[in-house]
Amino acid sequence: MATFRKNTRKPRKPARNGKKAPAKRSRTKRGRRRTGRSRLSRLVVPLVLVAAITGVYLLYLDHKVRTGFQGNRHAVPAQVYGRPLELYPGAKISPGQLEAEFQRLGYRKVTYPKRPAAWSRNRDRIIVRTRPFTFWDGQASGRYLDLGFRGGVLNSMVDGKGRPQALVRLETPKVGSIYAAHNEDRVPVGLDQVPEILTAMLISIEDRAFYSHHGVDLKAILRAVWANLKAGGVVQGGSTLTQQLAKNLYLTRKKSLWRKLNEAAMALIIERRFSKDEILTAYLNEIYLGQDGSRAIHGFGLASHFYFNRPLDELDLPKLALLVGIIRGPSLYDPRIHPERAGKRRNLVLDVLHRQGIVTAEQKNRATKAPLGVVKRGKKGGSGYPAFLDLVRRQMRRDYRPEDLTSEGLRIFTTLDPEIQQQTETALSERLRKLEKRHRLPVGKLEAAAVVARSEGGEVLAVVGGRRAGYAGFNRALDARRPIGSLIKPVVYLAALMLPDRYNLVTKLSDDPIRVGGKDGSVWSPRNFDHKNHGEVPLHLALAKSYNVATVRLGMDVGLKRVLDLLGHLGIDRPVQAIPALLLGAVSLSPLEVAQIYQTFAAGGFRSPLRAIREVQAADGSKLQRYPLTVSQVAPAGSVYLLNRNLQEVVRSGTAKGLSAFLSDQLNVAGKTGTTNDLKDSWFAGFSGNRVAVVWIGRDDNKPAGLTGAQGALRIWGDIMRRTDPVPLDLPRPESVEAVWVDPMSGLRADARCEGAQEFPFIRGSAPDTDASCVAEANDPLSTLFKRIFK
Amino acid sequence: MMIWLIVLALPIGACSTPMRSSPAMRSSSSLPDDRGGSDQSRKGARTSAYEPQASAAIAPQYSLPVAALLEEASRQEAAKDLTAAVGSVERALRIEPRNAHVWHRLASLRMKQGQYGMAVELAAKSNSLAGGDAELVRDNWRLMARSYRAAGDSDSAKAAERKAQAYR
Repeated sequence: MATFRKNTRKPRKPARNGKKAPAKRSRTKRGRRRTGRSRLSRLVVPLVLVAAITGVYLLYLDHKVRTGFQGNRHAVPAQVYGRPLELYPGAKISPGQLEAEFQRLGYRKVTYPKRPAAWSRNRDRIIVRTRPFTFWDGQASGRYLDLGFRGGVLNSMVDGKGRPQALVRLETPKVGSIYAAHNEDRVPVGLDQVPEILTAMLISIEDRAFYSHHGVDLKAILRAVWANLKAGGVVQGGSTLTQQLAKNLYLTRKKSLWRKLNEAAMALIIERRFSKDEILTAYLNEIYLGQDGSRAIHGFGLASHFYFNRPLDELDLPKLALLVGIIRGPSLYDPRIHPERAGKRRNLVLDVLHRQGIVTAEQKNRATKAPLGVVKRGKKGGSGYPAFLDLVRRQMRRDYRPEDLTSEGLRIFTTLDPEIQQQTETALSERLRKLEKRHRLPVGKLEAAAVVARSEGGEVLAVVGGRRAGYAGFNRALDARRPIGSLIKPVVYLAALMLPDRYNLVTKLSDDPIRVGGKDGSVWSPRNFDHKNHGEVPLHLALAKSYNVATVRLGMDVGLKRVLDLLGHLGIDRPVQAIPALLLGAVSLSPLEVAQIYQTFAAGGFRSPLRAIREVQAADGSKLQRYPLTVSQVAPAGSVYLLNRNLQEVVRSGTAKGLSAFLSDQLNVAGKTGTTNDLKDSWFAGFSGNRVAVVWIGRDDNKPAGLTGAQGALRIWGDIMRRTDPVPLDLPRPESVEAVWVDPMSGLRADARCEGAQEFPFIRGSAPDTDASCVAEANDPLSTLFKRIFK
Repeated sequence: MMIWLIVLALPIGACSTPMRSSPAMRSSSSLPDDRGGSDQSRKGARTSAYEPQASAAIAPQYSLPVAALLEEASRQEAAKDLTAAVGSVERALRIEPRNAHVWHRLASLRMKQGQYGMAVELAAKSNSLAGGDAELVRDNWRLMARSYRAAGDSDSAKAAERKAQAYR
C-alpha cells in the first residue's frame, strides 16, 4: 500500500479577512438631539444594510475565489500511459510499427531530425531523436538512434557515434487520463514550462496592461465600447486576463450585466489575493480552448495535445499563434471545422505581434505561410481506450481513493500495448461485420468483447469492450457475464488429469447417455451437440471433439467439488453453484475472468493475477507503488502439460480446426471453443507461445447470436492472433512427464513399430503397462523385415 | 506409392490389434526415430505426432538486451535498490518470458527482499522451464530450501535440500 501524501498546501492567507462591516456604533455623540438622530438613522439604516449585504456578498465571492482557485489548480487528473516500446536488435518491430508508435508519441517526420521528438525514414532505415522522459525508475535522456530493419525485425541500432546499442526504451505513449465527471481533463503546465513567446503573445493580444492594472482595465473597456459602437456590434472585448480567468473559473458563458459585474468583482479579489505570476499560470491552465464531445478542453497544456498531439514546449510560433487566436472563440475558430477562418485569425495575431515588435517581419512571414499543423481528431473523450482505462480505474480503486485518481496528478504506467489493442479492435469490428453478412444475421445486432494478455506474468495487453471500441459504454469484457459453455471443459479435464492414478489422456470414457438426478428430484440428461452417442472414447478425444456426455460422466466421477475447487484456484473467486450442469459451462463469467483461467493453462499451471498496471508515480516524480509480477503454482506442471497437448489437439483436429484458415499449423496454438444453448454465446479461448486471448460474441438482449464458438468467436480470435505476430507454442516437457507409445484403439502400451501407434505424454508411472498385441507382432522378425523393405 | 503401401500393409495390419478401421500405415518418414534430428524432421513430427520430442534444454545464454538488463539489475542490487533490480529483471522477462535463468534471478532477488513465499513460487516457475539444465534445477531447489528455512518451515526446507542433492 502506498504511503500517499496528499498535497495540503494552503493558500497564503493575508492577515486581513475581507472587508469589515462598517456598522460601528459611536458612543461619543450621545448628547445629540432625538429628532436629528431619527432622521439620520432613516438614512443610515438602509445604507448600512446595503453595505452589509454587499460586504457579505463580497465575503462570499472572496471565499469562492479562494476555494475555487486553489481547488481547481490541484484537480489534476491522473495521466495514464501505455507500455514503453523496447527497442533492441532482434526485436520483432517493423518500420511501419515504429512509425505508428512515433505518431502516438507525437514525434514529427522530418528530412533529418535535428531536434528531439523528430524522425526520418529512408526505406529500412529510421533515424530518430527521442525526448527525455521520466520513467518510474528514473530519468532517461533524449537519444539519437540510427535503426536498421530487415524483414520486419529491428536489425541494428547505433547511437550518434556509431556505437551499437543493446537496448533502448522509448517513452511511454499517453493513452488517457482519469478525471471526475464534473471535472475537466487537463495537462497542467507551470510558468517555467511555457514558451516565453506565448505569455508575451497573450499579454499583447488579450491584455496589454496586464502587469499594471488591478484586475479591471477601464481604459480597455472604454476602448472596446468605442470600437464596438463604431462597428455596430461586438468586435472587441475589454476583459483583462484576470476577468477572463474569473469567467472560466466560476461563471457560465452566458452574457449578462450581472455576470459582468461579478466577473469584475472577482477579478479585483483575485488580484488582491494572488500574484501576477499565479494569475498567469492559472489562466494558462484554465482558459477554455475547445470541445471534444463532452470533454471541455481547458488550458494550453491539454489544447496542445488536443490540436497538435505534442507537449506545449514543442510548439513553434505559428502553432502558438493559432492557440492564442482560438481564445476569442474556440468554436468559431475551430481549426478542424473552420480551417480557413482559423488560419486568418492566426495570421491576424501574427500581424499584431509584428506591429508590437514581438516578432520580426521574417518570423511573421514564415509563420503566416506555415500550415495549421493540426492533427486529425483523436478518438473521442481523450482516450481511444475506454475499456482498458475502465480496468485501470477499477484496479486503482483497490488502493486509491477516487479523489486521488482524479485530482492528484498521478502518473499511471500501464501494460496496454496500443498496437495490439488497435489490431484487436480492428479484427473484432471487421470480422463481426463479415459474420453478419455470411450468416445472414441482422446487421448491427451482434456484440463482442476480447481480452489479450501475456501468458507469462498476466499483463493485460488489450481490452475491447464492444464492437465500437472507441466509445465508452457497457464494457462487455469486464461486465458481460455469460455462461461459458464448453470453455469450462478444460477445467473438468485438468481436475481429472491431476489424478494420474485414475486418468490419463487415453483413459476410456463412456459417451453413452446419462441421467443425472438433482437434489430437487429433477432429472438432467445432457446430450451431445451432434445428438449422437460415440460409445467408448479416449479422454483426449472427448475433449478434442467436445463431447458433452462423456464430459459429464468424467466430471461426476471426478466430483463436482474437485472441479469447483480447481476453478477457485484458477482465480474465479465468485461463488459458483455446485450443480452438474456446471460441467457443461452453466457458470457465467466475463471474458476477463475466462482469460484468467486460461492464463494459468498458458503459463503451465502458474497463475499470475491479470494486471493492467505496472507502476504509479506521484505528480512530483516520487515512486508510489509497483504492481509486481507474481506467480503461484495452482496445478502440477505435468497435468497442465497433458491438458495443453490436448488443447493443441482441439485446434489440430478437434472442434477448432477451422483456425487453420487463419494460422499456420506450425504455431501449434492451443484453445477451446464454447457455445451455449440456442447459440446465445459464441466463445473462444486459447493461447500461442506468448499470449492468451479470449473472445466472446453474443447479443446485449441475450437473444440467440446464431453462431457456434467455431463459427464466430474462433474467427475473431484467429484474426487477432494473425495480426499480432504470434510466437509458436512450444511446450517444454516437465520432468514428471514421459512419452509412451500407445495403441490408440485399445489404449494399451505399444511400440514405435506398431501401426497407428502414437506417442502420448503421461505422468511418469501412469502409462498403461499392458502391451498391445502389436508389440509382439512388431517383434516378429518377419514383420520387421517387411517394414525395413518398405521403408 | 500410396496403393503399394496399403496393399503391403494389409497382411501386417490384419494380424495386429483389433481395429474398427484400418488406418494407412505410418510412413516411416514421420517416425520420430532420430531424436536429435534436423529442424525439418522435427517440424514434420510436431504436426503429425501427438507428442513431439522434448525440446532441448534452454541454454544459459541471454540475448543482448536481456544481458544488459541483468547487468543493470546487478548494479541496482549492489546499490541496495532491490525494487529497481526487480523492475529490471521483470523487463528482461518481458523480452524472454521463458528463460528459466531469468526467473531464477527474480526468485533470488525476492528472497533477498524477504519475500520467501514468492521466492519459492518463482524458483518453482524457473524449474518448470529449466528443461535438462540440472545445475539450474539444483540452484532452484537450494534457493527454495533457503527460503523455507528463512520462513521457519524446516520440514519443507529439508525436503527441498534433498531434492537439490539429487541434482549433484
